[in-house]
Amino acid sequence: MERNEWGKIIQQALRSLALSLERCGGAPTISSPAEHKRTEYGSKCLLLDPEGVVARPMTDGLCLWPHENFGSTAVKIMVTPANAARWLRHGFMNHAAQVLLAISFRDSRFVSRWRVVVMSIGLAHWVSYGAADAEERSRHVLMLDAYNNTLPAPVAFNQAVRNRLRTHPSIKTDAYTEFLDLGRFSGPLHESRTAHYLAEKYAQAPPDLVMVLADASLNFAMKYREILAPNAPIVFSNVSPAMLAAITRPSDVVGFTVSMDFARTLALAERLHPHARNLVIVNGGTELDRQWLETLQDQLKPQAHRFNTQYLTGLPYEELLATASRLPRETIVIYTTVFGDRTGRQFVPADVLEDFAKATAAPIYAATGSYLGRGIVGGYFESFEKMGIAAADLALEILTGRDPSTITPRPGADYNFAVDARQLERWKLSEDVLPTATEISFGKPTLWQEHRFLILSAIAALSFQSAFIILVLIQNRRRREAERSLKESEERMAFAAASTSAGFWQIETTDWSLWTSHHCRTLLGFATGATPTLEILLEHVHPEDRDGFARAVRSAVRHSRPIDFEFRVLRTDEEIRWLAARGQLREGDARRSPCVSGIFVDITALKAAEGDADLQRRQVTHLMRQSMLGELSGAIAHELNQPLTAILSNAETAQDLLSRKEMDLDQVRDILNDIIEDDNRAGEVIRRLRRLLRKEEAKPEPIDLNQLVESTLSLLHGELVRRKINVEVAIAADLPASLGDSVQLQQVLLNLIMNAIEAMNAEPPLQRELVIRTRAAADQIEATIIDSGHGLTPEARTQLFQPFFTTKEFGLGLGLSICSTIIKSHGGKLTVQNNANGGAIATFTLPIQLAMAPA
Amino acid sequence: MTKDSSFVVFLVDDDANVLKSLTRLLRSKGHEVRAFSSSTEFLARHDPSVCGCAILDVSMPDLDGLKLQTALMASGVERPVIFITGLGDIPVTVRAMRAGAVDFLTKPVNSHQLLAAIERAMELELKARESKKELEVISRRISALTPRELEVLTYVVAGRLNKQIAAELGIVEKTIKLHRGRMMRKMGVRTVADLVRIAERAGIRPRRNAGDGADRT
Repeated sequence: MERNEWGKIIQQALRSLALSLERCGGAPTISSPAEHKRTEYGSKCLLLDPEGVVARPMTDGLCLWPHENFGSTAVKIMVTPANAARWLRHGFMNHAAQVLLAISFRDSRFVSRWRVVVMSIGLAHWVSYGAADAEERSRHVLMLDAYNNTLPAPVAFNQAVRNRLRTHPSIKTDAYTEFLDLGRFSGPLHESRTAHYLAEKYAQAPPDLVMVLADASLNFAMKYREILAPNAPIVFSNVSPAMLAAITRPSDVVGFTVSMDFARTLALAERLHPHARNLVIVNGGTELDRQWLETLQDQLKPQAHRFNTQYLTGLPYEELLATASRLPRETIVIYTTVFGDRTGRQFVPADVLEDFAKATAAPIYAATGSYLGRGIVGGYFESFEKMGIAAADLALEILTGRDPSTITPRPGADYNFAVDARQLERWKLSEDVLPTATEISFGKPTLWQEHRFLILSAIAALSFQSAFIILVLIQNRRRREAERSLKESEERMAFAAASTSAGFWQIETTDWSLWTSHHCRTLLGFATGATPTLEILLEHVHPEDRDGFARAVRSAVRHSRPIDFEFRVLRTDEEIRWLAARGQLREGDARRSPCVSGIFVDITALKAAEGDADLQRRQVTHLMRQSMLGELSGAIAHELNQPLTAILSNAETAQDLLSRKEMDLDQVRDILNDIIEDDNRAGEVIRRLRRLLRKEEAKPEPIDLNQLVESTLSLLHGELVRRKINVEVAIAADLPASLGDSVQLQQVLLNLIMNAIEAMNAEPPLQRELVIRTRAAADQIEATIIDSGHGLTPEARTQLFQPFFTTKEFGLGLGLSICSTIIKSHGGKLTVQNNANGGAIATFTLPIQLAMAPA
Repeated sequence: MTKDSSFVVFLVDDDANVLKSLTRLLRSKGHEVRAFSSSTEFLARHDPSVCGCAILDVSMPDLDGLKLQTALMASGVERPVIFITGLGDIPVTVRAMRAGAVDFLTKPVNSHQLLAAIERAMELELKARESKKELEVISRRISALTPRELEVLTYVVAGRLNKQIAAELGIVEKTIKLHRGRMMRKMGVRTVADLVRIAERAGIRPRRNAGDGADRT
C-alpha cells in the first residue's frame, strides 16, 4: 500500500476511534505532532510501523498517534484500562488489541523489557476485561426529555434515573440523555431532523430501552419509534392521562401518568392565605387545557362556593398578562396548563407561567411539579426525583426481563406538598403553617448550611488562633512579670546589700574560683575593676586570722559546714577592718554545680562598740562594788559602833570607879568582862564583813585552772586585740585540779590581767606582751601573769595589797586586796613583783584538791 | 550638881550591852536609871508623873527614837529627850533637834557630853514641873473664887478702876472693893502686877467692859 494511503487509513481509524471514545465519555486530545518535541520520539517510543502509528506508553495508559510523516494532524488517544473496557463493549478494542499485538511482536528491538511487561499486563487486562464483558453487554438506555437541561425538574429527573440505574447489582446500563427542547424548537421539520440525527447518532449504540418524560417526548418517541429504537420498549413518566387516552398504546409502552390534585393544592393555598376570598383559575385554549380545566372543576366543586372564582381561559398572551397585573393580592391563583390560547398560538405552559408570575401580584399555586421554581408558591404534586426513581425501577424491571405488557400505566405514587422557599419569602409566609412533610425546595441554604464545614473549620482555626494568641500573650505577660519581679528582687537585694553594707561572694566548689559583688570588693578595699581570686582575698586577710578563714572555707566546701567567722582584713589603704563572714554551701542542680555563697559584713564599728561596752561594764561593776561598800560602810559602822559604845562607857565607868577612895573592884571586874565580850562582838562583825565581801557562800567545786585561763582570755579577746597586746599562753598540759569557787578565781584572773593590760597602756603596741603560764609545783598549782608594763614603784610594792591603795585614776584600790583575800581563802598565796625586763609578775598559787581554808 | 533623887533617867536602847554599860555609867555618877530594851516596853511601863528625862536610841527595830518621842508628846507626856545613835545622818539630826530634843549624841557616847545633857534635861524638867505646880496652884485658887470675884478679877487685870468696874457691873464701888480684897487674898497676890502675871498664866482674858467674854482660855 502506498504510504500516503496507509497513513490516511490510520488517521481515519484513529479519528473514528477518537470520536467513538468521545461518545463513550473518553477524552482523547487532538493535537499536532509539531507540539511534541523531537525527544519524545526515539528509544522511548515504539513504532508500530516506522511509518505508521506511534504508540507511546504513559503512566496511565497507551498513547497512540500516527507518525509525523503521515500528516499534519495527529490524533493522540489515551487508552486506559478504564475506558478500554467500554471500548471493548463497543467492539472498538478488538481493533486496538490487534494493533497492540502487532506492536509487541513486530518491533521487539524497540521494546524494553518493562514495557513489554506493562503492555502485556495491560493487554491481558484489557483482553480479560473484554472477555468478561463479552457475555454481559451493557444496556443502552436512551432518555428523551422534552425540555432543555436548564430546567431543574427534568435535570432532577434525569439525575435520579441515572443514579437509580447505576445502583442495580447485575445489569449494567449506559444512559444517554437527549434534551429535545421541544418547547423552544418545534415543528414537524425539526422533529424529523432531530429524529434522524438521533437515529444516526445512536446507530452504533442502539437503545435497548427508551425513557421519556412528559407528553411531548412520548409523542415524539412514538412517532419516530421505528427510526430511533424499533425494538426498544418505552417507559414514560409524567404523561397526562388525556394524552394516553388519545393514543393507541402499544403493549411495550408503559409508564407513569401524572395526575393533578387541585383540591389539595387549593387546601395548601388556603392554609397559607386564610383570608383570601378570590380564586382565579388560569387555563389555556387547547383541548388538552380544557381537559385539565374539567378535572379541576370536578375536583374543586365542593369548594367553589367559598370563593369568588374567576376563570382566565384561553386568553391571548398579552391580555392574560394584563389581567394578571390587575389581580389583587388577596387572590389565590391556580395555574393549570396553557398549551395555547384562543388565537391558536402555542406555548410552553411553564414559560407562560413564568411571565404570568412576574406580572401578577397574587400568589400562584399549581398541581404540576415541573412548575415549582418557575413562579408558583407551591402545590401538591410528585417530585421529579421520585418520578425518576420510579421510572428507573420500572426500566430495570423490563430490562431484566419483565414483559412490559404485564404492566399497566398508572399514576405516580409519591405525591406530597411542596413549596418554593423563595416564594414563601416573597409573600412573607411562615413555614410553620405548612402541612407536615412539606417539601421545601429552593431554600437558599443559609451561609451556615452551605458552608457548614468551611465555617466550622474557619471558626476552629480562628479560635485556635485566638487561643494561641492569648496563650502567647499570657506567656508574654508572665514572662514580663517574672522579669519585673526578678529585676525588683535583684534591686531589693542590691539595696539590702548596700544598706547593710554586706558584700556578696560565691566560691565554686569545682575550681575554687571566687566571685565577688561590687560592694564586696569595696569592703575588701579592692579597686572597682579588680576581680580578686580566693588567693588574693586570703592575702588580704590578717595573718592571724588567715588560717581560721581558710579552714572555715574548706570545711564549708568539703563538709557543708556553714561559715560564721570573724576576721580582720588589711585593706589596700592600710586600714584594718573587722569583717564577719557568713555563708553556706548551696546544693547544685541540673544547671549549676554546687557552690559556697554568702556575705561579708563590716563589723568594725560593732567591735569597737563591744570593746567600749566591755570597758563600761567593768567600770559599772567597779562602781557597783563601790556603792555596795558605801552601803556596807554604814552597816559596818553601826554594827561596830554598838560594842564600841559599850566598851567606851564601861571603861569610863571603870576609870571613875577606880579613882574613888572606895574602889568597887567587883564592879570593875564586871566591867572588864563586859569589855572583852564587846570586843569579841566587834570581831564577829569584822568576820561577817569579810564574808560579805566574798558575796555568796563559797561552793567548793573542782577547778580547772587552764580552762579558767582560757575562758578569761576569750572574754578579754576583744580588749586584748583593741589594745594590740600580744598574748602568749603557756599552760601546762596535765594540770591537776584544785577545789574552790571558780567565779571568784576568775575574778582574780580578770583583775590581774586587767592590771597587766592597764600597766602596758603607755607602751608602744609592738612591745605590749602578756604572758600567762600555768604549771604544777609540788602540792600546788601556780598561775603566773607577766606583763611588759611600767612595773611597780617602790611605794606600790609596799602598799600594794592595802585596801584603798591604787595607782589608777579611778581605781578603788580594793582589787588586789580582795584578790588576795580570795586566794588566801582558797588556801593559796598571791604575790606581785617586778620583772627583770621591766613590767610586773603576778603569781598566785592554789593547793591541789584541798578544801578551802576557813576564814 | 545637886542630884535630885526624884529625878529619873529613862534609858531605851535595843542593844543589851550598850544599855547595860550606860546604866552602869550613869548609876556610878549617882543618877537613878530605869532601862528599857524596847520602845514598846518603855511606853507600857513608863510613869509619866515621874520627874526625869529620856535617853533614846534613834535606830531601834520597832519604834525608833524619833517616833517614840512623837508618841510621848502625843500622849501628853512632856519629858526632855536626849538622842543617841550609831548613824551620823544629818537629816535625822535636824529632825530630832526640831522635834525638841535636848541633844543628839553619836556612839560611842562621850560620857561628859552625856552627863551634861542630862544636867540640862534635869534643869528643864524641874523647871517644867515647877511651873506646872505653880499653874496648878493658880488654877486651884481661881476655882476657889466666886463668880463675882472672878468677874472682878477680869476687870482688874484689864486695868479698870474700882469705880469703873462698879459702873460696869452695876454694883456699888464699896462692894467691888470688898470683892477685890477677897479675890486678891484668895489669889495670894499683893500687887496687881502679880495678879496680872498669874492671870495670864492661867489664861484668863482681861475684860474691859461687860461685852467681853470672860473665858478661860
